[in-house]
Amino acid sequence: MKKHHPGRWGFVFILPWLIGFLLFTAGPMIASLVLSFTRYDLNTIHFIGTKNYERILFDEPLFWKSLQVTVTYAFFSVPLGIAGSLGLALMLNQKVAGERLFRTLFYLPSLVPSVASALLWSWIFNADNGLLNYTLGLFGWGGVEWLADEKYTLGAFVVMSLWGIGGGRMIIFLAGLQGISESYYEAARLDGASAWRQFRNVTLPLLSPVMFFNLILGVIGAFQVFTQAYIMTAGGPNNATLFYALSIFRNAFEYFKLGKASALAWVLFLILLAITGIQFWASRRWVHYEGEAKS
Amino acid sequence: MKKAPLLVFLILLSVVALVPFVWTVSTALKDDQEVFAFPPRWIPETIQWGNFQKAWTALPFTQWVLNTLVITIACTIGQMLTGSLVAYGFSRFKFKGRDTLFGIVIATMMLPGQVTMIPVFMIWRELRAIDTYWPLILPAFFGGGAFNIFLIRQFFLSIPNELDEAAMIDGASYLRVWWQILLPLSAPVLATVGVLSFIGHWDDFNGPLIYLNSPEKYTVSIGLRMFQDSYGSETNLLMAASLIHILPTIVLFFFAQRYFMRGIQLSGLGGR
Amino acid sequence: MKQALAFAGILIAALAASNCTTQTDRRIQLRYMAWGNVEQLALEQELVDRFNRKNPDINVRLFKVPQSAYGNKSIVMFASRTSPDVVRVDHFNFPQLADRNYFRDLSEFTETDPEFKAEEFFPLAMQENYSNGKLQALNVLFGGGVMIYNKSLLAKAGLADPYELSKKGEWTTDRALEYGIKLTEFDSNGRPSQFGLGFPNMPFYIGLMYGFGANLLNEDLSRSAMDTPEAAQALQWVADLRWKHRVCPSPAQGANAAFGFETGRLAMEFNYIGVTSRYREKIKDFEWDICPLPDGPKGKSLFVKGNQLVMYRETKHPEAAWRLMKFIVSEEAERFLYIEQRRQSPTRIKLAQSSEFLEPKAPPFNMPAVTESVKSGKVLPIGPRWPEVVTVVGSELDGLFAGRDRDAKVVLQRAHKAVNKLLSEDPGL
Repeated sequence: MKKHHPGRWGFVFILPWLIGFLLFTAGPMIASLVLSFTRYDLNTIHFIGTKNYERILFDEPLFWKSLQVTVTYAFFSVPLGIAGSLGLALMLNQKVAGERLFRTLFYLPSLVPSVASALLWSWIFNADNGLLNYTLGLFGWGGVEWLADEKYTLGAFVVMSLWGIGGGRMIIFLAGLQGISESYYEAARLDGASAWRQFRNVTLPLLSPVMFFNLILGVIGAFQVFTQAYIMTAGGPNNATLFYALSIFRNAFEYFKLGKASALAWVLFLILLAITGIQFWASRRWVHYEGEAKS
Repeated sequence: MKKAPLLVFLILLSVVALVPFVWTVSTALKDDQEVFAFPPRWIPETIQWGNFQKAWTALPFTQWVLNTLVITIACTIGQMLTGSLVAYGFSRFKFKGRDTLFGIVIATMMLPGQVTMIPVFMIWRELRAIDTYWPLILPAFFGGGAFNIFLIRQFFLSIPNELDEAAMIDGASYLRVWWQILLPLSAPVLATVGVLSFIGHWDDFNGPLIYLNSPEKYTVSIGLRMFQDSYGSETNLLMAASLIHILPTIVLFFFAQRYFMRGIQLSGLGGR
Repeated sequence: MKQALAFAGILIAALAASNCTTQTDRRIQLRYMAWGNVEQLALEQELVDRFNRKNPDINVRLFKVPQSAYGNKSIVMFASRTSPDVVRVDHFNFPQLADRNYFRDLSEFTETDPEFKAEEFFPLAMQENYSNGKLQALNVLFGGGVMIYNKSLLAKAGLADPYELSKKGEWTTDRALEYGIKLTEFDSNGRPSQFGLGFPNMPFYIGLMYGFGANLLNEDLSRSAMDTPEAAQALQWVADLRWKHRVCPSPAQGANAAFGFETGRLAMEFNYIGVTSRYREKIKDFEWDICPLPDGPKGKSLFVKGNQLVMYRETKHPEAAWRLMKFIVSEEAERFLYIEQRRQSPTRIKLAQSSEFLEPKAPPFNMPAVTESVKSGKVLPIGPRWPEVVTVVGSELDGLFAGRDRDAKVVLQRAHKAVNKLLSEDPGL
């Protein structure tokens, strides 16, 4: 009987990943770990122990600043984004006239290439003649330096991120909703459950693996925001959009401090590992699986 | 009709969501002078259809579209196939070190690419693969990346185990269970992975930038950036080229969503 | 399934095709990398084609890279030792890269090649090519900052031509501000509909600092020089343009296209001569020209900056690479780039002083303004740590330029301290 050695087969199936990991990921990861204990300026390399880490944690205000920027951004953009995507997915999961058209329309924003959307948003947020200030001006407000005044820039980035709620995350929710059998709702309706109770007791629990997936990915994604900040504000004004990934990029590719950049990357790695670990731990309380291998 | 308020709401919402996109289209159709007219002008005075042709012929885009297509389709196939295979291994089998290995899968998403970029590049250099498509395509065939493995695994987990057990009692092999039971049931997630993977590679900039040197091997996303420079960008041409660039993905999305919507009648099969 | 297999077959064929290069060719294969937009890269390609025609034993291939990603790509190539043989680098990055020993010392060629005469080039242009006392580059796309002005708008406002004023030494920062105020207009809602001056972003504000008798760093670039009253005065002048006099658009990056010079709603701007090829193509309904940056209270605000053409240290074909480099700064190539295409200013003195260059048939006509800056401007304070310095200074100045901080002196004190702290630290940490 096959049932005696299912484990071995599992190992066979994950081989493609394992080989790729050993070939292209493990080596470079170890290399960056080693580099994080060196002073490497792309020319000479010296072992310096934990100096990079000491420097980052105790003598680098920009490290804390970039952490603050990224965490603030994640704190607002991830929950808002997930709620928005879920809301959209719920609406688009109804049988509405032109549902396919709507789904495509909401998906469009995330298709626009990043260079084009960076230009687009620079114009929308332009202080002198941007669409936003123009529209506000019709109501007598306006004159805000959205991208030049550090008070507003991060908010502008959160707004920008919400433009993408109809994107990949929404599709994943939609696919998840499609995976929920109508029979559950029928049963709930027979019990006289209201629409809200159906959502609360059927949709949410059954969608929880997807929600969990989106949450983990959302947090990791927020810590890797780079392109828009690089193109639109270059981390400014006054480091208000110095996202963590941008800070790593600068240290590595602009300042040529590859040792320090590696240390920054590993600190981020540990932070994300901790956050994700906590999420996995907490997920036992709210994520509901049907088919996990229990043997 | 009870859905009428929802419909109205959706229309309103899509109007708001589409404002920036409409501006992209409108900009693509303006002449140089009108691009930044103030107050904003939504409909160009004279519509410049010629911008599309101008943008397209300014650079060898036809060649680059073909290149992008080859890379993108190969990556999409690789990610769907190997991603679901690996996810099958992680979701349906209990073997020693499984959870640790899955933890490592997730962890690989957390190390930012910037610091591994140079070591990875050096590996490809040793393999003499710089300025070829191998560094862009081959990684897709090694499990297709943590994101896809994780996503497909999440979906496999929500498919009841009884289905594959029943098939195995009928004598099906593991590979057969994966191909004939799980994959058909996972149409929504596979369509999702396929579409996201296609779009991701279609728009990938960093990979082609770093690994490709010969202009004849470039992809469209590199070309788009050439409309931008420090003296001010050719905004209308950039927008026009971007629109042509995203056209295939819009069409793909419009038709692929049928598969997200096919749904799985778990009740009929699983007997719950 | 069959379709999938057929498709896989096509893919593999395509991949195989991408892999092989036709290797029957006996020529020396040389790689040259440069960045640019569509038109600029076409000019580079034209140069390369000309070189290939003249040198049948060499085949140069041009790697075309978009500007926004050039730094990233070139670093990966230098660090992994796969760099092209000849590379153009921006002067902002040149000293930093030269410090990593990526470039070959060119004196072995310049001293032995009778065709190359250093004295034919502007001394300022040659000065930029040295790093750590070694000649490591040739200068290309050299030039200084200028002001570009909308002649039609100035005439309408009854203002004297700034180029004529500059000849008499009367084109000053005071006068420029006065022009800015007179040329700024508001609509009925109080919103600006036309701005008098463009915002002088980096490095133009450094030029203005020169005019006020200040500098960013000291002579040997080892410490900040921003604690002087002159430095505060210069940057106060810049910040006041927007926040006191409201004569220029927002300094936010990439946000100024709405008041781009070519729209006719910006009367004067700070820019390089290289932008004018774009203006010649786009501007149809007004007259325009160039003049030098306005003199400050302590002298001229002229500065220069070029790009460096370098030879990768580990190139397998140094002789061939040198021939390519020499060609790109040859009279023929410079005539093509700078006189026919007017991309920047020639680095060759003779060409820059020729009537072909000084008396063009299309705007801008006041070309001596360019020659003036390459002859008597100052180089920028760019050393190996420039990227860090400019980021630190930039983030301090952001508050001033966004109107959050109003006192330049306070801001510069902070910037001064931050830069000194930076420069005193281990450069690798």
